[in-house]
Amino acid sequence: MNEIIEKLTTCIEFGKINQKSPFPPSMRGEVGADELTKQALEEGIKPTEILEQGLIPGMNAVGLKFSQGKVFVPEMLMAAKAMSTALVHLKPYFQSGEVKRKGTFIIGTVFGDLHDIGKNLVAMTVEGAGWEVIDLGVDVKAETFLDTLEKYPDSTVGISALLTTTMANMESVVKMLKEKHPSTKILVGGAPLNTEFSNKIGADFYCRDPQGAVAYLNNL
Amino acid sequence: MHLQQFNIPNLLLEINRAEIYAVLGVSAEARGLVDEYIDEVFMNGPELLKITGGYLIVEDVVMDTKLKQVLVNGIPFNIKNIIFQQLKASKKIAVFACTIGDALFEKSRTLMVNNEMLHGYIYDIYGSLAVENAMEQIQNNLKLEMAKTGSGISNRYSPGYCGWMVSEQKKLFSLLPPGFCGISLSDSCLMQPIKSISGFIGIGPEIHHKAYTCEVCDSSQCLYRNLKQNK
Repeated sequence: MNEIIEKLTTCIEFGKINQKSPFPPSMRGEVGADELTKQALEEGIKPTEILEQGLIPGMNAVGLKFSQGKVFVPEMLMAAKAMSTALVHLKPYFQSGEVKRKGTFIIGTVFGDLHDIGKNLVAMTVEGAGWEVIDLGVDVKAETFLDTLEKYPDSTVGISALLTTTMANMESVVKMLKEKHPSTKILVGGAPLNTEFSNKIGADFYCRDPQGAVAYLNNL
Repeated sequence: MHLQQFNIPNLLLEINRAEIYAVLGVSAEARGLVDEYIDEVFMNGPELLKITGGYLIVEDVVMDTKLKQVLVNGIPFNIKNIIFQQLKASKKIAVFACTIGDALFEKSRTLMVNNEMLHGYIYDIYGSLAVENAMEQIQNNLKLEMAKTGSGISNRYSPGYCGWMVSEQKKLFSLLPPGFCGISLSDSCLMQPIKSISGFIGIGPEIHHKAYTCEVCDSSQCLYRNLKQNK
């Protein structure tokens, strides 16, 4: 495999954003995902190869370590930041259609709830796994999920809630989306949820952690 | 009934680095970076805190052993078995609330929106610890006050924990004066400002504060559990 691509994977896995970034200490002074992505493009490496062989494997590696408890939230967030920095260079190729995403993932915190840290972590990890993510933010009404789904009809939807009161709001969102788009897959997640609740409200999958969401999406 | 409200000076807060590590989870590799952010938060975070908290001591308290409910001023609270067991010897209940205001939460979210997720998350954790720490000080005040009357106090228990439904916040806040500490409730019982806490503390001669009772609760995302497990 190309040496730049290998280095890029390492930079994403360990959250090395750019040369200036002091993190991780073991890579201090080295170039990061920012410079390497630019260099790879300048050297004529195809954007698809950069994404699929360089960036995504790096995010998968850190995501796996996170779900195994080998790294923590700081490493995940730094990896995601390195990934988003690299993706800026690939943006024109996404827009031209030269690089294709795996699909579109619409995510938001259900109406009535303003908690977003878990939702953000899932959004960043899914984006890092090669999906286009449309993050609707917090306090998202059923109609907003539906309107967005109608703009991107082949999307998968993720709904988050942190409170026992707001998780109840998920049911009406799932119902509205499934009535209009029965084949759309819906993931739900959040601290008070479990698989039983997910089944009860008619969602397709209870997502325990970010990597679980990626694994589910990749198997669709 | 006896109402107490306090404004806690920021300088009195006792939040240490280890508590943030415990909630965040920090490897040796990430420690340097995290420390840099924590230093900044310790320096600038306190200015963003506007801490107000207090409690109302209610004497009209009836324990319904059969339904595992407590009636406070005649209002039934379905506190479920775990909390009921801890409060059942209470002769009075202190209904408490505490907030750090909006500014720190807004700072946290501004950082996150600007792709500074880790920095913003550390602000968020600091806010959670600040409101708990402030309430700890208010609770200590209550403890001293009650000790003079020969009573002890329990741990504090909040809707959303140990099986007590968040939806009971509405009844809880109906016991407090309107706008108490500047906290309001959304339709989904979310407190505004977000970094606010509320709940009950039991009071009575047979009531004692206990160490963490995580083993009897099934919440996997609780701040106290994370602190205990990661220390």
